[in-house]
Amino acid sequence: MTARQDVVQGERRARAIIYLKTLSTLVAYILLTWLIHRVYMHRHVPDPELSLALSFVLQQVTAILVLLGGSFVAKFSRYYRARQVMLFQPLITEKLTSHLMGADQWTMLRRIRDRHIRELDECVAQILTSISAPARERLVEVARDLGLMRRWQQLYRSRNAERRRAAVARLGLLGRIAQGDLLRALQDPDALVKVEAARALAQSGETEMLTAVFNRALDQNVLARAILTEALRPHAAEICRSAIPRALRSADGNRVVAALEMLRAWGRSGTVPELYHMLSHINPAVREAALRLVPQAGLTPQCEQQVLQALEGQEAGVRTAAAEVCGKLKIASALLLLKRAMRGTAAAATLASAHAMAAIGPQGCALLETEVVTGGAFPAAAALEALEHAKLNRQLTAGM
Amino acid sequence: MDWQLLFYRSFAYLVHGIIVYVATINLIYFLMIALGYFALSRYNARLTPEEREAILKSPLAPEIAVIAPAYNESLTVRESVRGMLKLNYPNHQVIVVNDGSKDDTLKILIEEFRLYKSSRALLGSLPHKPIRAVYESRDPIRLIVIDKVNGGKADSLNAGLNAARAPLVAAVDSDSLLDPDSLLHVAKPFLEDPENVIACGGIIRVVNGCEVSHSRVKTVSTASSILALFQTIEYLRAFLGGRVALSFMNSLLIISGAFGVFRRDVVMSAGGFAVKTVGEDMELVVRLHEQYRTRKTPYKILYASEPLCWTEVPESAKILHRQRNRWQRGTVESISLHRRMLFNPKFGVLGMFALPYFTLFEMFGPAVESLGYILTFLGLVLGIIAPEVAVLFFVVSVLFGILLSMSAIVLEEFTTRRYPLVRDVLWLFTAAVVENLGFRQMLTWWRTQGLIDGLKGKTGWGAMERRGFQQKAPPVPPGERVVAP
Repeated sequence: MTARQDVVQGERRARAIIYLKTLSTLVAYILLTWLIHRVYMHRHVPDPELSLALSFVLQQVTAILVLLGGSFVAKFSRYYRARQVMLFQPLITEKLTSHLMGADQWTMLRRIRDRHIRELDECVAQILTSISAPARERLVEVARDLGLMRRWQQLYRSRNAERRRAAVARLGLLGRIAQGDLLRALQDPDALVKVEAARALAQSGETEMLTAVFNRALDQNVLARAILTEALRPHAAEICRSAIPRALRSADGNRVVAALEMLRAWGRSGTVPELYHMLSHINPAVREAALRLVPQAGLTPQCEQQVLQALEGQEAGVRTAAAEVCGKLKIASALLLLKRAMRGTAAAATLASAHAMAAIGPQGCALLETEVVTGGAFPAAAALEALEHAKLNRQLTAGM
Repeated sequence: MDWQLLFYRSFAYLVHGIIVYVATINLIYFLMIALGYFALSRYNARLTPEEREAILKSPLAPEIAVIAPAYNESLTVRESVRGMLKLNYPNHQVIVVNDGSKDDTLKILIEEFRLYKSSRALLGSLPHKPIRAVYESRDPIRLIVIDKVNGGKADSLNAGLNAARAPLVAAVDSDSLLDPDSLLHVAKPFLEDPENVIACGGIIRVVNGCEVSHSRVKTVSTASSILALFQTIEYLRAFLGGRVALSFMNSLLIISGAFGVFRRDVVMSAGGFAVKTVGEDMELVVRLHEQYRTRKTPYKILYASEPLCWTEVPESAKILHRQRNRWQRGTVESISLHRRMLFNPKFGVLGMFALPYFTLFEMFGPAVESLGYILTFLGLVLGIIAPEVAVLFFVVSVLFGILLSMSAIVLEEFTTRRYPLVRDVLWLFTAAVVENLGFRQMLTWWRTQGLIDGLKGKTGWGAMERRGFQQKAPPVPPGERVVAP
């Protein structure tokens, strides 16, 4: 079974559970209403319909009071916890710092753990996010010895995805010793838990982990990919060396496009020579994505030819991307092809071509002026818009 | 034949029928709240601050064009456009459509944002009233203003759609306040499933009573006006209960006109917003459902459970009356236009549940409930029905209603938790009781009138007065919002 099928099946199961829960609530309500009616209400209210209705009211009032009570308790406990953290944080921080600096604070820390585990948990997590290597490793050991790691592992067993995500975020702070847990979390049914685990694994900086996270990112939806792209950004150079060339050789067009998009986000296209091969890829989506990287990567004579060929391509997306490249890199040799591309049926390609011609300079502007007079309705409108933008840009530059 | 006995029996059966009907509406609503709760527990995963930052930096986030039609909005337009431009999103553009305002809305925009007459080419070809001019800003801000002949909200949205080039368009009311992260939240479903998600709406919350500064809601609090407070409860009930559940079943029939995001290509190929209806928001969503289900193309129309948009609700009974009348007419129009989907198994849960539910309960519900009040009162006075039956009607209509409102508040407390003070929650609970003793009956009557007007084919929007958002500032002179009749 593929990862995609797995996700679809997991989603179906989750939806079925929600319907089942709703149905169970309904059944429970019917049974309870009937029970209240039989046991209590019908003795006081002889009319059976009224008795049933009042039984429902009674149980719903009880349910609301219980739920509301629960919500208030939760609200107060959140408030109380936040207050406790504020109150105890200085003390806990002081003891932890002193322990890390060599003083033996075990007894005190254990006492804090026994009485204020949540505050300790919060405090350790906060410090772990803000300190660097040697002290961090010591604190990780302290966290493990104080049982916090076990606590977070237990939290990860929760059925609630948000709790699991919080647990993974905490475990991620522990680095290598929690790697096993994080790798397991990569198989979590919840997408955001997986992303959290991948983000944590990426922090290790190990090539093997980075490759695993990068490969996982290629299969994810755009949201997860965007998040992982940022998580992997500090290690982009390493990934460009190791994982990207392999990903670009993939037979799956979607994965190649995803890899190219990540590359664009990092702004490191210049370091991947394999990119130029993608300009002649059989899949138009890949060609389009590769074209968008050309301004970052730089223009070679062969690449320029490929861009010009793309301007005459069948697919509107490819033509649009090629026109944008011509505009950004001011490829004067593309002017006539751009003029032809302007007259195509795709509005986006027409606009991109017009703006590219205007960006190329006076020659392009002259051609656009002709187009305003002789072109069809939309190409003329696009030409007028492009000329106006060029004029404004010139004014802006002159003003500066 | 004893005609009197027959009449008495028929009367009693009718009252009983109405009781069963009202109880059924409330029970379905109750089930939807339960389903909404379970769905929210599963799908209400919030973005962590790191994830939020990652999306804000990401070039992968699709561009969104925010289209805001404006008619005589000189009081609020400056602040609301500033607010829209400042939304947290990596790639968005604001398109304000001045729908032939008679005040100086356009002048304010031109001066405030240093606009010049632009030659921007319009990509789309949806029909709309003539455009007088298109403006863009000389400053590096992504703002376009379209000045056109008055044609109504739908007409303005169509003009905005033609001018937009982004793959996603957000249709917003220029007099509503968008949450700073609203675009981030609403874009999330499109990022998660770009192929299938075609539209996404957001929860609309009541801004009355909240502290607003610089187009941002600073402190969330309950409204001091009793009418606004009652409407706060209504909004909670509708958005957290009904719409979340319908969205879960992919049968959401309304994406509020105050804030909804659509895939531009989908709306363009569907023909844009319908100009001849007052419920253009509901009509478009129902039309999209119809088209996609007819073609058997997979799609999703979703609801983002994060509060995305804050709207000012009417504090005067006159304006509220007009608004509810219009909403009811919009429902009648949308359902009439797409009646072929009703009880049609080809349209799945939409044809067999969501649309029949809307027709039987949302469209005709107010009329049946009004009839129930009248018949119960008459039956009791004339001695046709037993007092127990009258009490039963009271229990199923009023007490069940109170319980529903309270359940919605509990749902709010368990999910979005937007009211930080216990005092506010308790105040909402009190209002949930009082709302059902007069206010709800009043709305039911107005909606019945709206149903009758809708069936008669009455059109027109009516006026909507605005007070402006700055609650702590002295009251501003009332603006007027009239969209073409």
